[in-house]
Amino acid sequence: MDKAGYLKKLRSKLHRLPTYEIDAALIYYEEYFDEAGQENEQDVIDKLGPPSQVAAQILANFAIKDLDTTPPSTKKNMSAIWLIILAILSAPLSLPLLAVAVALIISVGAIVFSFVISVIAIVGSILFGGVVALISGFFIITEHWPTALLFTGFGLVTTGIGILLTPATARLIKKIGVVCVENLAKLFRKITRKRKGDLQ
Amino acid sequence: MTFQLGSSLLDACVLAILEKEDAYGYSLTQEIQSVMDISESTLYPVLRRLQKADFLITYDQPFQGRNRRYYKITELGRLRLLELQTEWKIYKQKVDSVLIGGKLDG
Repeated sequence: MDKAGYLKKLRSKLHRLPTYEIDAALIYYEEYFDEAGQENEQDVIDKLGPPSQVAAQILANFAIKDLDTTPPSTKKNMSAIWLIILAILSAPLSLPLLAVAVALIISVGAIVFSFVISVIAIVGSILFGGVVALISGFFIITEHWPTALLFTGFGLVTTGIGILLTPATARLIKKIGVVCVENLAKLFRKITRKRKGDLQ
Repeated sequence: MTFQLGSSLLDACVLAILEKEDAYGYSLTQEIQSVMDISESTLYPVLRRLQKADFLITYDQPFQGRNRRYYKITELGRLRLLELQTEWKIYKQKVDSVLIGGKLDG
């Protein structure tokens, strides 16, 4: 490894920090290499130790919180909702404000929940209706075949629409979940920040 | 070195060196290394911390076609150094009284 490789590795190990912190650290270490002189490059690398170790020392100076590196998922959302509710309960909020926050979360939650349920019901009934029409079509095939044909065709089309809608619905519900959690987190941050401002 | 160099002691040493004259990262490391056993990567976090506490400021000066980042102690840094020096004297006396068998005077 040479100086450029070392600094590049160091930069990647610091990627969680704000850009200005990364830049400051890299300026320092680049200068450090330059001061030691090009002929001592390997010596400096040996003395500094692996870039991860140097990065760890820098990172240890910063309390790194709230850095999500994993992509959002439903499971994470659920635990995030719990964490936010617990955080709100433990935050030094006044009782009325706390009541408002809880009421707000419950009512927004209820609206979202009923919306999700109705979307599921609509898609579910389209699917169900299609399947029922298809089955009835088969049953009356011996009695009146044009009607049976109509029913079967209708059933096939409706079932198809239902199947096509299902993944889109799942995606929509997931998206709603993510948006809800993000806004809840934003709301919580706003409430607590305001409190801090009041105290100062 | 047998004894561990704590972060306040390191702070004090850096501030004391900078009180004499401004210095850049490499020279500071070398100077401290001449008396104490610290790793090459120890100083940067210390300097950054002291800078954030407004105990020192930096300025760049061109040197052989590149920049050298100098560290300069602030008034607040001088006050902090005085504080640390006082605390060190007390601490040193206490440790000496046990370790060397000297007397606690004051």
